Amino acid sequence: MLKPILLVEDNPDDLELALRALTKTNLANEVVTVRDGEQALHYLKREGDYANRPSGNPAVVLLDLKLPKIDGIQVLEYIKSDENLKSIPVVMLTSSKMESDLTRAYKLNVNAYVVKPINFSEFIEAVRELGMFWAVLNEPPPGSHKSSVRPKSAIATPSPIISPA
Amino acid sequence: MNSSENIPQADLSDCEREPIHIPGTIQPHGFLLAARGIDALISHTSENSRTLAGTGAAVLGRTWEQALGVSNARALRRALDDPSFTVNPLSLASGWSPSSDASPVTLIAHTRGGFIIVEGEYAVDDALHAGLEGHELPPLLARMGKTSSATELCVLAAEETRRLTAFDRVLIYQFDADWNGTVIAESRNDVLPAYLNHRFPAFDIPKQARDLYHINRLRLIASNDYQPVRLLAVSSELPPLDLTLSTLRGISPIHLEYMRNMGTGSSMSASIMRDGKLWGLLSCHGREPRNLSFATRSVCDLLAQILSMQLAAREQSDQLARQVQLRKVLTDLLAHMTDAVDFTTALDSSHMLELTGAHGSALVREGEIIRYGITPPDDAILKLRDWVGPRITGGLFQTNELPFVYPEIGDDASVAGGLLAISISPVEQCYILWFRAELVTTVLWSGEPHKLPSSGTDTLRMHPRKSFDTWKETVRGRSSPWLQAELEAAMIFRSAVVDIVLKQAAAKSHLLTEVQRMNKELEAFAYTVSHDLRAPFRHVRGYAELLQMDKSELLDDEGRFLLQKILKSTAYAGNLVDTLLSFSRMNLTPLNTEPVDLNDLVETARSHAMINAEARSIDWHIAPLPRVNGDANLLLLALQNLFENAVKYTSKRNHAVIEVSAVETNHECIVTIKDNGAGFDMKYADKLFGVFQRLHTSDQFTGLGIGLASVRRIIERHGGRVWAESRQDEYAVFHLSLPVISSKTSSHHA
Repeated sequence: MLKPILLVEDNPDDLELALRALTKTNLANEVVTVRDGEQALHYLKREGDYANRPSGNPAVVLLDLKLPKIDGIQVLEYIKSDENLKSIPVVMLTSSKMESDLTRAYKLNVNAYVVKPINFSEFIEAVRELGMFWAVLNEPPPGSHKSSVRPKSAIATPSPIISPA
Repeated sequence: MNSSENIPQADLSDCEREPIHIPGTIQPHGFLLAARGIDALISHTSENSRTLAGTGAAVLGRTWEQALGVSNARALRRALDDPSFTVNPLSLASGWSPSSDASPVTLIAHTRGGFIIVEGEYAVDDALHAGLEGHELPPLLARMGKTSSATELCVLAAEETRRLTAFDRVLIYQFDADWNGTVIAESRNDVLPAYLNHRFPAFDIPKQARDLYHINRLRLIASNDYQPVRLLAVSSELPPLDLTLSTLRGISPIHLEYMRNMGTGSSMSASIMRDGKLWGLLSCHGREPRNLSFATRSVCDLLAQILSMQLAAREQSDQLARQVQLRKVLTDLLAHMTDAVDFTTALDSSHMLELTGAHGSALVREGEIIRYGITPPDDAILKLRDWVGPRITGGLFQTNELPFVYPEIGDDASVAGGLLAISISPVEQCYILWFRAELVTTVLWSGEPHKLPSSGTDTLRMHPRKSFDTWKETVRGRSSPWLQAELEAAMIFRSAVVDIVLKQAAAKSHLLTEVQRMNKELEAFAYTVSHDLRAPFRHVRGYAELLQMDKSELLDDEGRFLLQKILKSTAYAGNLVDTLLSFSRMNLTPLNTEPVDLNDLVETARSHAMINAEARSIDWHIAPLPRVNGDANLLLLALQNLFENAVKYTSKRNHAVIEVSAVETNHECIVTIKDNGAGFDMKYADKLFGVFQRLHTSDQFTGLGIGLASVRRIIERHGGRVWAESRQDEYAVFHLSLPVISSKTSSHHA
């Protein structure tokens, strides 16, 4: 039984596109979607609406940075400080390229940081690689929460500025 | 007992202590009576007294009525009710004779030390000389008012006094701060020698004599060769009579000897007072003995007082004129300063020197010195600043004899005899110093001033000096004194500068806060752009792509064409937002400057630029490059932009050549990137580095018009500059300069 992918996204269009991208990657994993940080924590801790969900952690959490109630950084912080959760790979999925966000996320041991590309095909590619890597291939050893390998397109790097005339 | 034998002889150690106000004798041209009150009996008299009550000691123990007669005693009693009586000697009677065979006397009374003292002066017929009568006073005042200088005024007063008194020589004698006196005006006949411009040492008039001059404004010594007349007292228990205000007071034998040495047989002096202080003397000398009536002496006293007032008025108007003159300079200076960004730029030499009448000035701010006019050298100024800093009280320090209080000034004393210093900001170590050159003056001393007089053989016996021969002295190390108006100007200037400095500091800090606030707003804006504006573009693009992927068979050719347009436009918009964000972030992130090897940067930038041009054949000629100081990430971004440009604009060449080289000068390293691409029209070279400036249509070459603007911003933030040259369709050359580390750490020259 494949572990589900937890997708935390408040923007309906981003959610729609992310789901479609995931669909196009042909992953068999179930995709659980929640709409804010609080719901995400409820799901992970099996509380509230998710008190009765089957036990087990998701294969990967795709986490938007800006979220209502509890933001992505706080969710990440909680996951990485909880003994039972910290082995879950967390991929920050965001529109923001702000350095401060990147730095904070990396300090909290995020596994990858994906700046949602403008180009949808690139987005599909990124999600596909992420999914392949963490949902299918990656079986982290107990206690490990970091991978030395990161999918190529998932690493946020400062992109060169487009040349002028 | 011969009274003259009892005259005390002062010795040297008593010089300053001689009790000249209680000499126990009087001059012989009159007699003296004293009693404790109008109803008391006569307690003191002079040996030569001659009254109704008898002569000499016979007068002691009598009543005032018995001694002076009823009418004189009544006049005395009336005078005692007058509150001004204690101050002014009062003329009681003129031409009174106690008996038909006695000479007529003028009775003058005053009180002192609880005693009523009445002096009877034998009548003097000086009516011939007492020419100043009531109607002559207004024209004299008018003439005094017309004099053009203080000196001229003093000369007039001296001449007028000589006319009134018929003395041989009248001097106006002015004290300096050390109580040396200088003759500033003189009127004389040929009987006595000239003393004009001569200086007399302070010990000629000891302190207790000056103190007496304060209280008793007029003294007469009718003859230097007189026989002193002893005072007799009714009881030996009585204290010696205080003759401070007496007109007949016996003169110190030292002074009489002094007069004899000087060749003067008689003298009179009136005090010239200024603001309650002894300013100088109106001093009259005659070769022969000379007595003057009380009336004539009173006129001389009046003249001295008029002179005092005239001098004061003149000095005040001079000060006022100077003040007005300085205000004008000050106003000019302040007007300049308030417009200036930094007040120091508004200061010019002529204003700075005129403000205080200085020869040189220096503005010292921490280690920086701005000099105006003639000043000591920089190192001397800094040392002086350190010395004077703690001595500045109330914002100002001044001296007109700097070499005496600060001997370290050494050889620079000639340009810094006087120093005026103000502190602007002790925190910033900001001071303004004004210098006045030393005034080398020749003083004509009347006799050698630094040698105390002594007779040589009998050292205990005090002798006044015998020589009044001119003795020349050159005085160094002093400047002319700073005038009150000049000190005031300096203080007003100081408060204005302090005000400006404080205001500028406040404005600076306000500006800084404002910039910080705006930067924060800009950051927030950039964040909004990155996160919120980017999202809708992504969504449009995402849905359009989905449409193209999954549903394109539902569209006809026209529909697919329109879809392509949507995709292209949203891609462009998205790129634009991304690029703008990067550009704005370039200002927000602080520079992380470190030594950077340009060779490494160029290689990385080159490989980045080639990612999308792997298929093309491009010749890269990269010369060895030096190390520079800079932010590696930002410099990489700049080089990447320039290289991508070069790659892009050579895309239509079969054989593209891109050359990179560097030249180092003493202070900068110039990196040059040349390509044989399309180039640009030099007409528009100035537009090249502006934001969103494009010189090609997007059909010719793609791009947003922001890359070169980024390059410029990056390089300018490094303190360098960028420029370019080109020939259209032949080549383009871009130059950028960067600060250099040092020639040793750089590797190779291009």
